Amino acid sequence: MRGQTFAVDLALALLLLTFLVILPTSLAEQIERTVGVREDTVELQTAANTALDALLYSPGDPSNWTSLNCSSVSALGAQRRRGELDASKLARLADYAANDSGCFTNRLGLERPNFNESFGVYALNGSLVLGSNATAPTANESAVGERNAILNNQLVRLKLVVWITQ
Amino acid sequence: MTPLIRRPSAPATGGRGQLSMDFLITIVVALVIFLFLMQAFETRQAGVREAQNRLDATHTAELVADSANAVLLAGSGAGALVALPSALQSNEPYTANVTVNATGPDVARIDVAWSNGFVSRPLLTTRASGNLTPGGTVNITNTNGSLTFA
Repeated sequence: MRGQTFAVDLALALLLLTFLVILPTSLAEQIERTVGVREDTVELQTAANTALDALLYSPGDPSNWTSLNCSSVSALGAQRRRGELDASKLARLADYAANDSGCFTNRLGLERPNFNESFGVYALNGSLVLGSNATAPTANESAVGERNAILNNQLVRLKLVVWITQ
Repeated sequence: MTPLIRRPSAPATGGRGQLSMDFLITIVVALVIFLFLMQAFETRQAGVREAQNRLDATHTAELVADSANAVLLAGSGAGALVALPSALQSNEPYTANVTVNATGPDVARIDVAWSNGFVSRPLLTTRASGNLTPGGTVNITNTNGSLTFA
């Protein structure tokens, strides 16, 4: 009888101990995942904002980069004057983004593992002026960067969506 | 004729033996659990240390790259001073470099590497050069669109 009592005690104690070990472990893993997602989101948002700032605040290097091969371009930018964008540069950028994402991504700091991006220029009524429809697939971690600027004497909104494929 | 004598100590002897076996089993089980917990704890601690190092390295790379990109966009003549930590979390030594490749992905970037990992953050121009010394202060300057780290 004592042996049985001991065995039941031991089994219960082990069960309780296992539960107490598993609970913090799974909690720690959950926290780790949450922190990882948060870090990814911050990285995506920073990347989108940095790329848009580069387009908006720099004419590119050299400033006549639209006539050059990508390998000869040090930096991309579409600024004409402060707050105003150069239409030909923006068109070239949209073309890069749609067809030659290598130049677009690696000159704008978006060339990172599993990074994807979509770039579009919109009129204030929401119609697409240049580029592609900037949206991320659902169920992906994503960030949206937006900046207002003047293009051809009209106020437009630059939108860059960056997301990570799992 | 030998008298039948009932030995009163017999049950007590059996009881003592059983108790010792219980005690031994309990100790063995407790030791096994303790060792398992210690191993799990050590694995978790190593994971936390690695995560801390990665976060700290990312922060360092971002600090330098963000400052350099801001200096670049501010125009020629702009500059910034950035203090680099002497080591990552848990005193892990690291190296930091300005890396520029003429072709390929991430053409210009700030790399931070330590014994178990590597992170990088992009620069917005390929015209960048210089050295980064852990524990030192780096002076980032923009000269006609060219970034210098000194």
